[in-house]
This record gives sequence, C-alpha cells and structure tokens, in this order.
Amino acid sequence: MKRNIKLLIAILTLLFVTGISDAITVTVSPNPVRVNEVVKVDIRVTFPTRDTFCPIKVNFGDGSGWTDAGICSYTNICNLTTSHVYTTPGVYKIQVMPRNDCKGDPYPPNFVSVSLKVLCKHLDITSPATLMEATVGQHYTYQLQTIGGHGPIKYYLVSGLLPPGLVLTSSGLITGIPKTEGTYSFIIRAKDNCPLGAQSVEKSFSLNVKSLPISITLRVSPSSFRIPRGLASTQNVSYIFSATTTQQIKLYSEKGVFIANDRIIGDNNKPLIVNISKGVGNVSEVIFIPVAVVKRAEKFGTSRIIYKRNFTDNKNISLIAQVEIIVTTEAGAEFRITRLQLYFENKRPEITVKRNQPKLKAYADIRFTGSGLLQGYWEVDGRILSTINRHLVYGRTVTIETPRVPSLPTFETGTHILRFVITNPSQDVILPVAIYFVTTDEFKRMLSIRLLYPNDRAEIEYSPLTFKWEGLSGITTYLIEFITQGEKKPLFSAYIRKPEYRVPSFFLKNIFALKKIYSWKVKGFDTENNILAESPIYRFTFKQSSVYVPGQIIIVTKKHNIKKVEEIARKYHLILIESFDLKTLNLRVNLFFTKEDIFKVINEIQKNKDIFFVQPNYIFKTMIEPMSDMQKIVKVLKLEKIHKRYRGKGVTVAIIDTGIDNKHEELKERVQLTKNLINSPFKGEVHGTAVAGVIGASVNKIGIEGIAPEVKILALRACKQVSPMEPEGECYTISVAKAIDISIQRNAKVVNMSFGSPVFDKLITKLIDEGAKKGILFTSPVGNMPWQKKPFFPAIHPDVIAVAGVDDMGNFYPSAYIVSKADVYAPATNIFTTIPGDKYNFLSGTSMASATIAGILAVAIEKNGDIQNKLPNFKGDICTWVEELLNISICNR
Amino acid sequence: MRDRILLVFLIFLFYEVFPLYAQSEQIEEKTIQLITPEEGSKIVAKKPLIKFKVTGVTFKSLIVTLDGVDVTGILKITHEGFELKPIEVLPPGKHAIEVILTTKNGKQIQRKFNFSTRHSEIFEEAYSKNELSTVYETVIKKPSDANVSHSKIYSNLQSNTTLKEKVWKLSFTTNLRFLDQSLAVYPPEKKGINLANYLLTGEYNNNKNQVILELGDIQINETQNTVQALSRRGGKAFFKFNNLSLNTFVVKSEQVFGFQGGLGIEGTIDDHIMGFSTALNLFSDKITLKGIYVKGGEEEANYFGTSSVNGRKKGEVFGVFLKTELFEEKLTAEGEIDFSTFDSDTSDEFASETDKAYKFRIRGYTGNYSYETVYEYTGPEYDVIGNQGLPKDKEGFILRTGANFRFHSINLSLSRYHDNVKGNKLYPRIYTYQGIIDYTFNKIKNLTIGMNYQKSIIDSTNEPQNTSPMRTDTDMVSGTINYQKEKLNLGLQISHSIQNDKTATNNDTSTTTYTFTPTYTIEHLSISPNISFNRTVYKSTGVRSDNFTLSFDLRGDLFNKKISYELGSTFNKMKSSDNTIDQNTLDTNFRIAYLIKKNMWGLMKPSIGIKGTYKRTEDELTNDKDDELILLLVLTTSMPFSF
Repeated sequence: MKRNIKLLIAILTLLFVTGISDAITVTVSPNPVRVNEVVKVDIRVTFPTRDTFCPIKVNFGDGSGWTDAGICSYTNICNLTTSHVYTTPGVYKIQVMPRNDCKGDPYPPNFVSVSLKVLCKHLDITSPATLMEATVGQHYTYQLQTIGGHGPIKYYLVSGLLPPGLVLTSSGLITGIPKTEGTYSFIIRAKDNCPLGAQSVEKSFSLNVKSLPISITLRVSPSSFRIPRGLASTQNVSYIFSATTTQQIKLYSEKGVFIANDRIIGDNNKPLIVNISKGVGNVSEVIFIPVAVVKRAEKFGTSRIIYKRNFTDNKNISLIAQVEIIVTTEAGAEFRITRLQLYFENKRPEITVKRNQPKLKAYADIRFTGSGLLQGYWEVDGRILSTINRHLVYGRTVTIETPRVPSLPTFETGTHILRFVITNPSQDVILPVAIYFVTTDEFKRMLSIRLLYPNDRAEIEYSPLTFKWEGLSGITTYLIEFITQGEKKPLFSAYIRKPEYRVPSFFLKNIFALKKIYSWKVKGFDTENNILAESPIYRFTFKQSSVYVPGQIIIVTKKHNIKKVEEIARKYHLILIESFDLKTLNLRVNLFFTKEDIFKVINEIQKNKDIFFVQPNYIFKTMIEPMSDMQKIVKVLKLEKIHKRYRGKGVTVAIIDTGIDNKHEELKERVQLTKNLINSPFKGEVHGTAVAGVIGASVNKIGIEGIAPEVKILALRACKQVSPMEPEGECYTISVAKAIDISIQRNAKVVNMSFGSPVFDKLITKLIDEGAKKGILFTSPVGNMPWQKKPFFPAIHPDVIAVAGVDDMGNFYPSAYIVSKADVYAPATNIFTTIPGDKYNFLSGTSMASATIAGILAVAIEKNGDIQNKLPNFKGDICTWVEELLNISICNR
Repeated sequence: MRDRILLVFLIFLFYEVFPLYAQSEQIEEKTIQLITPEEGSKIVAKKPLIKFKVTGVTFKSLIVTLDGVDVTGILKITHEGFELKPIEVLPPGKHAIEVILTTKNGKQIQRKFNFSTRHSEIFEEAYSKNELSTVYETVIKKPSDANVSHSKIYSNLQSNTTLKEKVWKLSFTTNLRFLDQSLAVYPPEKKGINLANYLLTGEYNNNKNQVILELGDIQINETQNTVQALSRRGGKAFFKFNNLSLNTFVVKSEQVFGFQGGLGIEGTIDDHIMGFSTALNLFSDKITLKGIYVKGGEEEANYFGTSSVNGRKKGEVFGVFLKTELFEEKLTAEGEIDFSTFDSDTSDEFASETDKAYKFRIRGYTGNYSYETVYEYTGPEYDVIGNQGLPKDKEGFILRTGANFRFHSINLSLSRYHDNVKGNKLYPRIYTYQGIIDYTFNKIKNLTIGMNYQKSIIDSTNEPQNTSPMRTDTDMVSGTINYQKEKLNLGLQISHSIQNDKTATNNDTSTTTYTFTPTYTIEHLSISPNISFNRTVYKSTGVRSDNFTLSFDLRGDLFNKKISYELGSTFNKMKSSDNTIDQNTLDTNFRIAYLIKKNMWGLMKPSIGIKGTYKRTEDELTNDKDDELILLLVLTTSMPFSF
C-alpha cells in the first residue's frame, strides 16, 4: 500500500515538473524555410542544478521521427543546436523534450513545441534565352529546363510566335519540323503546382531556324539499257533531282555525249532544262542513238557506251548524269518495237469500203527487239476496239489483226483513223495511222445459207448424190460450186432454182474422182441476179464403196463340225464375233474377225474339206433415192378395184430392210413380227418403213393404201440407215442370212429384199435356193446406177424376181439396158409412201418398184395360191403383166 | 459439069460407105438446134438470151451447160423450146453451150454450140461503174471545248472503168475524195480534192506474149528476201514472151496519200525504189528460175501506215531464186540466194555494207499430210530497201508438219535459230528454240474446238564481259471453242502465257485473257458483243493489273429499211493492285437514220439522220469524272452512174 502511494506521488510530481514552460526554449531559423533549405534549431535547456545528465530529443514533424538533439550533462544551462532539411512544403511542428533517461533536477525537463512553415522551392527557368538552333526541314526537339518549384511544371507561350512547324507542349518540349528559316522571339511562362500557392515564372527566348546547306542528288532511270547492233535506237531516260533546299534551282544541260573507251563517239545536241522546285526536279529525254554511234563503238572494240550529260546552274552546281548503254544483238536487246506497219487487206494503209461492210480487217506488222509482254489496243477514232496482251518472243515479225468480233466499225460514213496503240513497251516513236473511208453506198449484207447435206468433211458413196441446203426467201436462183482442194476456180458449178442439186451421173463420172477432197459452197441470187447470200465451204470426199465388211470372214460348216471350226480359228488367229445356226440349211454360220488379208485367209480356209464354204461378210445397199418434193402421184393400177376383193389377206410377206416403224398408223396392224438382226439399237427408219408402206399400208381412211393392205408383215431389220439425212441403208451377209432363215422358218410367201450389191454372195444364194424350193417368191431391185452393166445381187439370182423401174414420164429407170435385164419393171419414182413418225413422203428408186411387185405377188397368192410357176412373161408393160397375173382388168390406161 | 457429077457420085458413095455415121449425124443435127444466138455468131450482149429446141426425139433426161456450168436448173420451157438467160454477165469472148440428152431407149446425144459475145460495138468489153457518195454533217450539240467541226462536207467518187478489145485491155480504178470542214484536218488528209488511190492498168495478151503496164497504187511481189508485198505508188511493167518474163518497177519509197508523191515514178533514187526481175519457166512451169535486182533509197517514215526509228537509208539487192515442182504438190523445193549492199544511215561516215542471205525450203502435201522444212541464213548487215521488216543476223531451221483428218487436224512446228551468225566477240550468241502444237477438233456438230501450245526458249552463250547471260522461257497456251447454230455464234477464247525471266532481273510476267463473243445475226438485226477480261501479273513487283473490256456492236433496220440504227460502244475498266490506276471509260458512237426515198432526182437512198458520240471517263482514284456528248445532223446520199 505504501509502495503504491509513493508511485502515485511520483507521477503527480512528473506531471507538475514538465509543466514548467521556461525550462526548454527552442529557436528555429529561418522560419519560414524553403524546401531543401537547412533549418537550424537552437535548443536552450535550463536546469536548476548542474547535477544533470539529460539527453534531449527532437521531432521535426515531417515523419522523420524523434532524433537526438544532444546531451546536457552537469550544467544548468545547456545549448544544443541541430538542423534539418524538409523536402515537402507544409507547416510542421518541431517538438523538443528530454529523453526518458534524463537525470537531473528538475527532472524531467519540459516538453516544447515550435511551429515551422516550409515553403516550396523557388521556381526558375534555367533554359538559355537563346535556344538551340533549328534547321528547316529537319526534326527539332528541345526540352525547356526549370529549377525549383513543385511539379508538375506546365509551360505556356505567353507572347511571340514559335517558328512555323514547331509546337510547345505543356511539358515544355519544343518539337516539330521547322518550315521556315529565321529568328523567332517569344516568352514562355512556367508554372508549378505548389500546394502552398502556385509559382510562375516567365522568360524571353529567341530561336534561330537556319536553312539546310544546298545539296542536290541526281538519279538516272534507267541507269543501264541494252540496244541492238545495226539499228538506230531510242530510249526514254529520266533524270530525277532531289535538292536539300526549297529554293527554286534551274539547271541546264547543253547536250549529251556518247563515250566509248573514254572517247567521245557522238553527241546529242538537244539541250535540257530542269527546274528544281521544293526540292524536286524531273526531266526526261528520248535519247536517239544513231547507227553510227553503235558502229563507232564497235570500231573501238567495245560494246559498252556511256551517255553522259552535265547539268549546271553556271555558278557552283555541276552534276554529271551517266547512262550505260550495252550494245548487243537484237535478241538480247531491250524489248522495243522497232517498226510498226499498219495495213488493210489491200496491203495499203488506206482502203475505201461500203457502209456496213462486214469483216473489215486491219493488220499490224510488228518488228521488235528482245522479248516481253506486248500490251496495247486497237483504236478507231479514239475509241478502244479491243485490247491486246501477248508475250512476244524474239525471232520473227508478228502480225496482229483487228478482232473478228466486233470487226472494224463501218456504219459511220466518212474517214476513220485507225491506230494500234502500244502501251507496253513504252514507245518512243510516233504511232502510225491508217485510214479507211466508208462510202454512203450500203453493203449488201450477205445472208447465210445453211448447208444441210452432206455434212462438212463427209465421206460419201460414189453414186449420184443430192446436195441440199436451206432455202431462203428472196432468193430465186442458187449457184452451187465444187472446188478441188488447193484450187480457187470452181471445178464444176451449176445454177438451180431449188435449194438442192443432184449431180447428174454424166458429171459424176466425168468430173469427180474417188478419194479426192472437194469443197462445195452455194451462192444465192435475188430476182435482179444480185448475189444476196452465200454459204460456208464444206468439204467432202467420194469414198470407195466397200462391198464387204473389212476384216470379217464367214465360215459356214455342218453343225457337228464345231471343233474343226475352232481348230481353224486357232490356226488362222481368227476372233469369233458370233455364230448361229441356219435352220433352213441345217448349217452353222460363224462370223470371225481377222487382222490379215481376208481373201488370203479365205483361200487358205476353203482348202479344208470340212468347211462347207467360206466368204466375206458382204455389204448390200438399199436401192432408194432421196425424198423429193411433192409431185403428182403416178397411178398405174386401179388399186381400189383390186382391194375390193383381194388385199393379200393371210399372206405373209417378209421385208428384209432397215427398221420398219411398227407403230406407224398405217403399219401397226400389219406387222406381225419385228426382229432386229443387226448390232445397232432398233428404230424406225425411212427405207424399211417406205417399203412396208408400199406393200402393206392398211386401208384406214388416212394416208395411203398399200398394194396388199391386209398382208402379214415380218419386219426383219437386217439393214441400218447410214445417215439421218439420207434414207440409204446398209445390210450385211450375216444379218440378211438370218433374215432369210427366219422368213423361211416363218413360212413367208414373199420375201422382199430392196437392196443389192455388185458381188455374188454364196451364203445368201444357198438360202434363196432353199427358199425357192419351198415356193417362196423373192423380189429384189436391179439397182439404181445408170452405168450398171448387170443387175445387182440378189436380183441377178435366177430364183429372184429382178425388178427394174420406170419413171413418172414412162422412161426406163435407171437405164434401158438394165431394164432389159430385169424380169419386170414397175413405177420407181415419186412413190408416195410411209416414213417414220406417222408421216408420208415421196421416194424414188428400184427399191420402191421391188416393193410394188412384192405387194402384187401377195395379192396374187391370196387369189391364186401358189403362183411360183404361174408367173406370166413380162412383155414390157406392168399393167398387162399384173392383169395376166391376177386375171383382172385393173390398168389405168 | 463433069465435076458436078463427080461430086454427086462422091456424096452418094460416102452415104453408101458410111450410112450409119451419116444418118446418126443427121439425126443429131435435127434433134438439137440452137435458135439464138446463131452458132458461131458474134453478138453484142452482156447476158445474151440463148434459145434452143429439141425435136424428133423423146428424151428422158436433158443436161445443158454454158461454158461448163450446168444451167439445166434455170432453163425456161417455152413454146419454141428452151430458153436460157445467164444469171451473171458473160465475159466477152468465146462461149460454148452444150446439150446432152438421153433418149427414152437410153441413147445419149451430145451437141455443142459456140458463139462469141462482146459488150459493145466499139469494145468487146466496156463498162464504167461510178458512185458518188456525199455526206453533210452539222453540229446539233457539243461541248464548247470539243474539237469537232461545226459543219463538214465530204464526198467520195469511186470509179471503175474497163475497156477491152481483142488482145488489149485498159482499166482504171480510183477513189477521188473531197473534204471541207470548219476545223483543220489531220494528215494525211487535206481539205479540198484529194486522190485517195488510183490504178491505171493496160494489158496486151495474145496468150503467148503478155504485156501489163500499171500506174498508181501498185503492189510488188518478188521473193521473201528481196521485196515482198510492197504496196506503194508508182509504175510497173511486166513483159512475158513465151516462157520468159521481165518485170520492172519504180515506186515511191514512202506511203503516200492524196496528190502527194504525184504518179510515184518521178523523183530521185534517194526516195524511190526501183528494180527488175526476170524469170524463166521450164518444163511446163515445173521449174522457175528468177533473177531480181532492186535499188533505192528511203527517207524516214512519215507515220502514214508505218513508223520506225531508222533514218535515211539506201541500198541495193541482187537475188537468184529457183523453184521446182517436179512432183507437183507432193514436193516443192525452193532456193534463194541474195546479196545486198546497204547503208542504214546515209548521213554518217560509214559506207554501205555488203552481206548475203540464203534460204532453202522444201514443202509438200500428200493426202491428209503436209510438211515443210526451211533452212535460212541472213547476215548481220543484210538489209533491203522496201523490205524493212526482214529479220537479219540469224541462222536456223524450221520443221513443220500437219495432218488433216475428217474430225481432227494437228500441226506441229519446231524451230531453232541463233543470231550473231559471224561470231562477233563483242556480242553474245543467242539461241531461240520454239515448238508449237496446234490442234482442232470438229467432230461435234456445230462445235469447233481448237487448242494451241507454244514453248519458246531464249538462251545466250559466249557472253562478253559486260553482258549478263540471258535465259527466258515463254509458255503460251490458248484454247478456242466456237459454237455456231443457225444465226447464233458463240465464241470463247482463253489464253494464258507466262514469261519466265531466269536471269537475276527476274522480270517474270504472266497474262491471262478470257474473251467471249456471242453474236446473233438475222436479216434485220445484228448484235456482236465482245466481252474480254485480262489479268497481267508482274511478278517482280507483285503488281496485278486487270483490264475489262466490253465492246458492243449493234446494227439493225426497221420498217422495210426505212429506219436504220447502229451503235458501237466500248466500256473499259483498268485497275491495278498497287492503286496507281483505277479508271473507267465509256465510248459510244451511234447513228439513227431515216431513208427519205430509195431514188430521188437521181440520188440513191438519200437519208437524214442523227449521229453522235458519248464519252465518259472516271478516275476512281482522284474521283475525276468527265463526260462529253456530241450530236450531229447528217444528210447522206449517193449517186451511181454507169455506162
């Protein structure tokens, strides 16, 4: 308890002692003070006794904490001095007091506090009044310098102007590219951010902007180029100047000189003047290098020429421009056009044409050196007609022609200026012009005649042929011209009114030859005999008619000799195409392919006794001519009178022909069987359908009536139509053999074979022999060629009724001679009959005559049964013959 | 009296000995008779009416030819017999009409009649066709700064006159032009009357001998290494005596228009080209031997037709040419050797230089195949006045072959040439190799397909010190497809080529062009557009340049040709990837005319119309636009007069 009382008394005493104000005095100087200035703090401590030992501490109030100011020891008056530097402006309290370990009387000493104002550091602009020099056009940067103040410092232009191109930033940066030289004066104010009050200071400056020293550089483009030897050349050269001054400079070059091996070998007296403005100048010239300069260089033994020019202002500027010229061959030279020639079809640069004349063309012959990309355009009266982009390779003169579409315009009368403008390579010569004059007289536009048959480059049979083309309104006469390849004049020509021309046999034999290439074209004339239309030119060749299928051999054997055939096939390297049995003959037919000469192989094989016979696969042609225009029908027989009683009912007629349109209104009820015996897709074709119509078109109040309209037709397609434009068909031994076999097997009474060949066919002969034995009547045309020496096969076969023709004027067809070799003749021209697609047309040819006889025989068989041995002799009159055969009066006399 | 008895006896004996022959002749005489013109007669007519009759025989076929042309199809049947009016003018001279008939019993009777025609009493052939075209234009609307004459009148007299009598023939053709306008005229045209062209020809021809004299705008054709297709104003004289011929000529060196240059034959050798050639034809023209001499001088080109950088020059050339066709078209062999003396610039100190050139060619065709091989040498100094397009300083050969089948045709060509033929060490020797293959396929109806590929290589050797080596490969491929059906024609062409510069310069370029030309033509309307796009790439700079062109040609007429209208227009757009060019241009010419009358006071087809041009240019980079419309009133007419 006692101890506690003592402690309380001590505390109270301490509180009492420290409350004595005059024990410590503190003097601060200077006050106020500036940042970073030294503040001196004098401390006077008074002790009542000298028996003291008292450390004194001080706190400057800026966060630096308490520090010892010194120790008062064994003195009653103690003076201490300390200092401090403030870094931040503000008002601070300096506190002084004895340290806790102070020992003395009085003890403890007083606590003292003194207030101190710390001001911002003085602001001043330290940058020199004359600023760093600037240069026009060169980038300039200067940072204004200040001292003191409290950041951040901001700068303002108070008066005057900065040099153009320079700016002052708020941070005191003078920057930019000065544009104008001169000395510029201005005042800049700097202002700080002092928390005890912003300070500002101003200063006058001067800034000198100087101009650059004059320096000119010269660049030559191109610095080097190649020219051809032996030719004068031109080259466009540009001199490009860059100066370090904006002032106008005028340079002059009197002439250029050519130097080879340090010797002047020529000059170019063309002066050049260049104005350099705002630091840039440009001048160009077309250097003409005469042949003589090239030759002189050659003479001095070099292919390198320097072209030199001196540009000067006649004071202190002198610039040398140098271009290197390498002389080489034309192929190695720069790509340049050395000659350009324009001309029309008359080879002149001038032509006169009619208005709207089509296909007017012009040509540009271009001679050039080197190789490169030619770019340009055809231009008529300043209008681009077409552009040209073409790589040219050295080696030859190139001819470029105006486009086909559109051709040179000819609708505007008067003179037209034509140019071929070259954009690449750059041209240093004036482009030539050609002119064409368009008269007011109108060009009669040629109409186009479309050629229909034969097609272009057709290979056609060497037989009378009809050339056909599209008829045009307004055209009254046509001229067809035939030209031999390589010739200009027509070999033969003909005027006709109709859009078709059948080459008469007379001309065919006397003018045209086999295998030669001919062209044909057609012109059309109006009523005033002006040419108004023309066709393109088509080519054709007369091919040698092959009478057999190349490479094909037919081997006929007994049915059981199959192995023998296989042996032969192996021996002679024959490839089997097909084999089939002929039921009629009880034989097997084998069709082979060989690469060897078929006749050699046939000769070899036929020595073999096991072979029945061997032969080629022959080709037969149908005996028809192209369709004609509609003409008067030749009526020989009173068909209606026959049809009242006999229509061929129950009689089967086999028609071996091209495809019969079995859906034709006139035939669909007649065709009992359709067989496609040929290796091509079945379709209704003209010849077969026409023959079937003549024989058996139904009586149905539409179209036509066949001669035997209730006959049964076996439509046996053993032939194929060779061209869509022509009715002509082609048949083969194999297919015909199959057809005859079927005819016999199907008990046909009449077999019509409207085809033929100049060769004798053994297999067909055998089949006809067999058919005839069974009472079948065969009919076949004698042929259509006026120059025939004998009837074609199979008409020539004794068991076949050979049918010739008579035209609608009563003339023999094809010739009186061949008619005399026939068994009978019948109308052969302009027979109105059926064609595929429920259509009708007129056809001519002994094929039609043969069909007529086949129809008559069918009617006769219906009436009289077997008539094979009852056929009357033909006395030159078809009517009489039919009347005798049928024993009915039916002639239209 | 005794003579008469003897004559009767001989006639009797003739008929007794040759009864069939005589009777046959008699029958044919009577069967076919020429009514007009009389057989063997000479008549004045251009299209004589021919009449004949057939009597006493029934024939099943009749063929009639006039000068070998089958005219059966245009025979007119009259009550007198048959009548034929030729469709085209018969040339004066002898004509033959042949009648071939086949009697009902197959006998062929053939009869030939001859007659002669002449076009007038004085001259056997005489005609003069002339046509005067006149146009007057006056401006309706134009910008103030347009370079168009306020009014303009121009005429053209086209004349073609021929006179022929026996072995003599004289013909004259010309185009005489008149022009007047309020503005100046660009050369070579001039205001007033001008002679655009003319040709006066005189000929003497008696089959064995021939003389042809020509004065005016003539053409000279000698050989490839001398003068070839030289069309200039001057005079030419050709003489032929049996198998020997002589050709002489003198022409003005420069192309001339109008009265400038006069007749072309007056003046000095410095601005004229003159020469002669003589040829000897042997063995029915199967061997031809020819000698040629040409001399002349040429001034600088006057930019009418031709531009070149060369100066004034002179020279002469002598050549020998031999051609044999012993195996007809199967083998034709030609050889030519020429020597020239040439001064490429008469103003310098260097004298003329002499050099030679020779060329051998063998060619022919048989069946579907053709071939050609050429070897040629041209010296570096070889040059010819009048044949300045002739490449020189080269040696090499070409091999060509072709096959032409029904649906395919193919042609191949290979060549190898080099320059610096004399091995001058100052220069490199540069070889050019080229191969071309060309193929056409036309099996598909209405469609033709063609392809072409070319490969060219340029390669240098023996480069001197200051010359860099060269190696450039160029590949060009192009294809065409053309479809034509009736009035429609569609054409598509695509071509692409690359030039690969294998030197350090590496200046490679490639260019590709697509062109589509659909045309449609019927009697009263024709539309022919051409759409073309080209892209060219400059690989060294990476710049791509595009060029689009649309050309359009429209023609037509309405109301039975009372109104006609035409339009020709081109739109072009050029743009480059480096944005240095981006330009559009539209250029249109048009015309619409009304035909006043077909014939008015002797004036043919006078018409009144409006024609105009419209131009518009746009620069997309600078945004500059400019357009111009010009309208003109046009009066046109023509006046034909012939005698």
